[in-house]
Order: sequence, then structure tokens, then C-alpha cells
Amino acid sequence: MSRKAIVLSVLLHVLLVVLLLFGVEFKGREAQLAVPASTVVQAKAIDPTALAHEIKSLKARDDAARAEQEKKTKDAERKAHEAEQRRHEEEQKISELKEQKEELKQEQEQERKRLTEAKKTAAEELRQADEKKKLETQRQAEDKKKQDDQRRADEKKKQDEQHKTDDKKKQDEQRKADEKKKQDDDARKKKEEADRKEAERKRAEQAVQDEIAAEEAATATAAQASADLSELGKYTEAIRSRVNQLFNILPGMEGLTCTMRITLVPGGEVAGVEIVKSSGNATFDRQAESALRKAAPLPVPTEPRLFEKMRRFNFVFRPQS
Amino acid sequence: MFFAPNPNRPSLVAAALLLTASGWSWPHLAAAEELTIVIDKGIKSAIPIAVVPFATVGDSIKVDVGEVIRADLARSGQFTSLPPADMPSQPGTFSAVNFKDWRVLGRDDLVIGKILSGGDGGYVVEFRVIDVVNAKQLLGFRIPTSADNMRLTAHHISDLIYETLLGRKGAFATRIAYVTVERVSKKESLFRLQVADADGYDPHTILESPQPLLSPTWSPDGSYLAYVSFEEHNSAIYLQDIRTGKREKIVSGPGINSSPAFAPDGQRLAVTLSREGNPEIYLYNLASRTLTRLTNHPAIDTEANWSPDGSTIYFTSDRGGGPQIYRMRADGGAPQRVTFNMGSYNARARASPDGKKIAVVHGGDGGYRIAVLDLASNSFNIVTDASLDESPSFAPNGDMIIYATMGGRGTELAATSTDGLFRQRLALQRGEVREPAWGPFRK
Repeated sequence: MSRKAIVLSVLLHVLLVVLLLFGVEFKGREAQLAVPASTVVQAKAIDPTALAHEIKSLKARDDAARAEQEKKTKDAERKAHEAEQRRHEEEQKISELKEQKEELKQEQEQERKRLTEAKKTAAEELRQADEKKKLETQRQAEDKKKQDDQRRADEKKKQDEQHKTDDKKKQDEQRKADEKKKQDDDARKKKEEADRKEAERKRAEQAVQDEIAAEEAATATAAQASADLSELGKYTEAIRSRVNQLFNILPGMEGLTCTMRITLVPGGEVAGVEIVKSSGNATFDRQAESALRKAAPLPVPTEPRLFEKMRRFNFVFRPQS
Repeated sequence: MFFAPNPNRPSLVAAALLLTASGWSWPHLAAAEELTIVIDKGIKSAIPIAVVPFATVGDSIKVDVGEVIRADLARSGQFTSLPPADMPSQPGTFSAVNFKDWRVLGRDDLVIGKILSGGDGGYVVEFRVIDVVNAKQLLGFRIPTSADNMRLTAHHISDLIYETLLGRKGAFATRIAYVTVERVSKKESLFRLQVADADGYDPHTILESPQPLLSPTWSPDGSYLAYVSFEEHNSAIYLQDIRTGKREKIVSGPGINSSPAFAPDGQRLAVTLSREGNPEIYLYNLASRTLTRLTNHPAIDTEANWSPDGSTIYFTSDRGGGPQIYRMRADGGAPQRVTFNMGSYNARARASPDGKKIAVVHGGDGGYRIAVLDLASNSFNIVTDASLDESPSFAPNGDMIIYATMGGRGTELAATSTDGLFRQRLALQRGEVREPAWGPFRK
């Protein structure tokens, strides 16, 4: 192998490290490159200085001897181990170099592929970077947008909250109003109910009163009718009496009957007399008519309502012998 | 109580209220609402009338026509006349009548008229009967007449007024026959058979005799009078033509010959004869001049009178103890007593023109009065009130009864309405007036 190849190999390792650092995983290589963890921890945990100090600080005893011994053992073992390790490493290095030599080709091929891949990767990265940038921009835009959105959302939220607050306030107010309304309604309903009940009671009372009134009215009507009757009776009786005194039953007229219809004007004057049914005897009929006309003015009620009941009526002349 | 506006309260309908449920009605009043007043009493009153004096032409008419009419109407008892001095006016035409004036005076009716020249020395009496209450003329007539007949014309007018206002035929233009007794010396009297107008005016003596004249009776046609005369010192029945004065003795014989009564057919007379010893009713046939005995009883049967239809003869008999009225078929048969439980003395029956009543001389309470018996109802109504009333006789219209009554100067004529509500004496003649007989309607 040439120097160039070693350099290249080193460069490649560097690149690999970089790639590793950048997190690009090459799974096939990782197991080979990994250092055993215990070894690294041991190395870090055992500080020779600290140990020396510790030894020094410790009292001279067996411990120190043992420690020395152990140290010696350990050192020997370490040395043996290190030598083993170094030898192993050498072997491994030789093996590796062999392998590397073998691998170089592959690697070169792979490198080429990798380069292509890298190019692709670079392009991809570039693209990705662009993309990223773009994404970033986008992200930023989005962030901004998000922020804006958030802001807006916040604002909206705020507004909403405000609205909510307002709404709540409104709702509260509404609720309060509703409550008040409800209270009012309740009060009103209560009042209405009370009123209704009162009205009902009054209605019932009124009904009773009405009934009483109706009865009284009926009684009054009856009384009125009765009074009218009584009142009219006075007039009709007065008329009857008067006409009886004026109706001249001429000889031989006994047993005759005629019906006359009289029409009066207020005040009792006779507006007309007509024969409804003749007796068949003109003289008898004429005496009947004369009696009515002679009776004028007939005693009639001055009250129009009552007079109307007597404006027009009949007389039956039927003298009993 | 005479008003029933509410059909639901029929109990309030008094008996005097007639609900016009059937028979008659009119559309704009419900039957139940019809107020009806029944006039079931009335009065029996004279009609208040005013007969305005009839204006007359010239001075030759001595008769006050208006006054004759007023008196006629008044005598009937159916009218009360207003004296002319109380009249507010004396209208001669319908248009001149101030109805209000006459109504104020309470007149129902008014008679106006006048006497006009009728040519040939005659006259025309024009008159109108006016209904004051209803303000309409009821009758208007023009009657040709003469100065001599003016009184009779006035009576005719009275008849027309009577018939117009009462619906019944008047009997003013009729005559009455009666006997007057004039004491000419202490021992002598003069008997006169007279015929006068129904109002007693214008008497004509158709027979004069120093011996008693009794029982004048009219032939149905008013042409003859039959009467009893004692001119031959025994009673005999004569028949005399009123107009000519010609007379004939138709029934005479031993014993009593009295109480002639014309049958409605004018061909027969019922008479009382005692030729067989006891006063009995006989039928005398004017054509055959034969007598037929109708009654046969030891008691006195006398004073026969015919029912207007000629089927029945009423007579007086004491077969029951005292004088009472009996009736029998006109051809005889068993007599039946008519007057029961109407006092102890009922005699001299006279049938009313309608045959529904008889007027009798009714004795009781120390006197004699005229009574009217309604044959259908058997109601007995004493219609006069003096102490000695006798010889009733119906006017041909049946509305009045003329009779003789004892007055201050002896017996006088009087008239009563058949119902007894109105009576008036006809004190016209000097001396006694007996046995009036009211003649038939003039033909």
C-alpha cells in the first residue's frame, strides 16, 4: 500500500468521523469502531495521581503493601493486558490493513459510489438545505403565521374571551335579566295566578252575585212584569170600567159579540177603531165603536214603555144579560 | 189583571181577559201579546140624541116635526133628547155640523132636517141621522107629505131613526085603540071607542055609546076593531071597519059575550062565552060564522089571546083556585098552566109580537101591576109600579107595552118599555081612559 492510500484512508476516517459526528449512520462500520465502554470508564475512574495521593495518605500497613502489590499485579496485568491489547491491536491493525487493502477497492468503489452518493447527498443536502431553508423560511413563515395565527388566535381567543366575557356578561346579564324576568314572570305569574284566582273567585262570586242578580233580575223582571201587569192592570181595569159604563147595551143586543181593535196615540186619544169581527148587527158594532170613542182619552200610562203595550189592543164586547 | 203579556204566566190571565188564540188574529202581534179587554157589562141606557128643530117654509105647517120626533123617541125610553134651548147651533146640513160641540154635550147622534115645498101644495121633509161620535151620516131621506099628514110623517121619521140607531123597527107610526069614559051626569056616562096615533095625538072616536064599551081588539091588518058593547043591555061582540065606521054584531047570546081576540090569520076570533052556563073559550070563525068551544071546565076560562104564530091560545082561568094564565093548542086540547109561583093573581095575558113573552096583570101586595113573563126562561118581571095597572098591550115591535093605570083623574094611558126601565103616562085625554090596544104596523 502507498502513502497516498494511507492518507486517503486517514482522510476517509476523518470523513467517517465527521459523518458520524453528523449522525450519518453507517451501521456496518459502527460495531468495529466502538471502544468497549468498561475500558473507557476504568481509564477515567482510576486517576494515578489520585491513587498515589491515596496511597501516600493511607497509613502504612498491609493495605499499602497490598495496594502496592495489587498495584503491581494490576500494573503487570495492565501491562500484560496492554501488551496483549497492543499486540492484539497490532494484529488487528495488520488484519485490518489487510482488510483495508481489500476493502480499499471496495471502498474506492464504494467511495465512488459514495461520492456519487455524496454528490447526491450534497445535492440532496443542498436541496435539503434549500428545503430546510425553505422549510425554515416556511417554518419561519409558518411560525410567523403560527405566531400570527396564535396572535390572532390569541386575539381571537382574547376577543373570544372578551366576547365570552362579554357574552358571559351578557349571558349573566341575560341570565340576570332572565332570572329577573323569571322572577318577574314568576311574580307576574304568581300575581296573574293570584289575579286569576282572585278573578275566578270574583267570577264565582260574580256568578253567584249574577245568579242572585239574575234571580233578583228575574224576580225584578217578574216583578217588573208583575208590576207592569199590575200597572197595566190598573189602566186596563180603568178602561174596562169606563168602557163598561159607556157601552150601551141596546134592547135585544144581549148575546151578541163583536171584537174591535183600537189604536191609541200617547195620551189615550183614539187614533182608530176597526171591526175585527162583526157581531152581524151593525147597531151593536156601532155602539161598541162609540163606546170606545166616547171613552177617549183612555187612561193610558204616560211612561212610553208601558204605553207601547197599550198602543193597540182589542176589545171584545160580550155583554152578559 | 186583565193584561197578559207573558204567555208563561197564564195564571195571571183573569177570567175577563180573552186571549185571542183562535178565530181571529192579525200578523204583527203575537197572539200571546195581544191585550184584550172584555166588555161584558155595559149599561142599558137611553141614547143621547139631539133632534134639531126642522126649519120650515111658510107658516102653514102647524106641526113641530122636530118636537114630535123628540117626544116619540123620548117616549120609547130608548132616547134622551136635548131640548132645543140647550143646543149650541141648529145646523141644517151635514157640513154645518160642529161635531165637537155635540160631543161636548154628550150627544151620540144628531137629527137634522127641514121642510121644503114639494109642489102641488105638498111638502117634502128632508132629514139626516148623523153619528156624532163617529162623525158620519147614517141615514138621509126625503119624504113627500102633506100638511095634514105632517104628524104621521114625523112618526115615520121617528121610526126610521129608531130603526137606524137601535136596529129595531119603530112603532111610532102606529095607532092605539082605547075606550074613554066621560061622566056626563051623575047617572050617565059616555063611552067612546077611540083610535089615535100611538102618541095619543089625533084621536078619532069611532063609536060613542051611553052603555059600556069594552075590550077593543085589532084585526091583524089594522082595518077592523072588534069590541064588546052593552048597548043592547047585554054584552055582544061587534066588528067595526075603522075607516068606514061600518059595524056588525058578530057574537051575541045569553050570558057573557066578551074578550074577543083576533087570530093572527084574521079569520077567527077567540071569545069568552057563558051561553052554556060557565065562561068558556070559544073559537068564532068569521067566514063560517060558527063557534067552536075550546075549553070545558067548571072554573072561569076567559081573556083569550093568540100566540103570534096562531098555534097557541093563552087564557085566564081560576081552575087552580085563583086566576092564572093557561095555554092550550089553538084547536083545543088540554090546557097547561103557564104562571106558576108568580103570585096568586095573573090575568089577561097578551103575547109579545115575537111570541117569546107574555104580559099579564099581576095582582099582589094590595095592587095590580103589569108583569112580563119570559116564556123560555120563565123569568117574571114586574114592569110597572102603580097600584092599579091593567090591560097591557104590546107595541107591534114588542119594545113597549101600553096599559091603563089609575091616576088622579081616573085611569089613564101609560106606556112602559118592555124591560120596565122607562115608563111614561100618556095623559092626553080628558076623563078615564081604559083598555088600550096597540094596533099593528101600518101597511
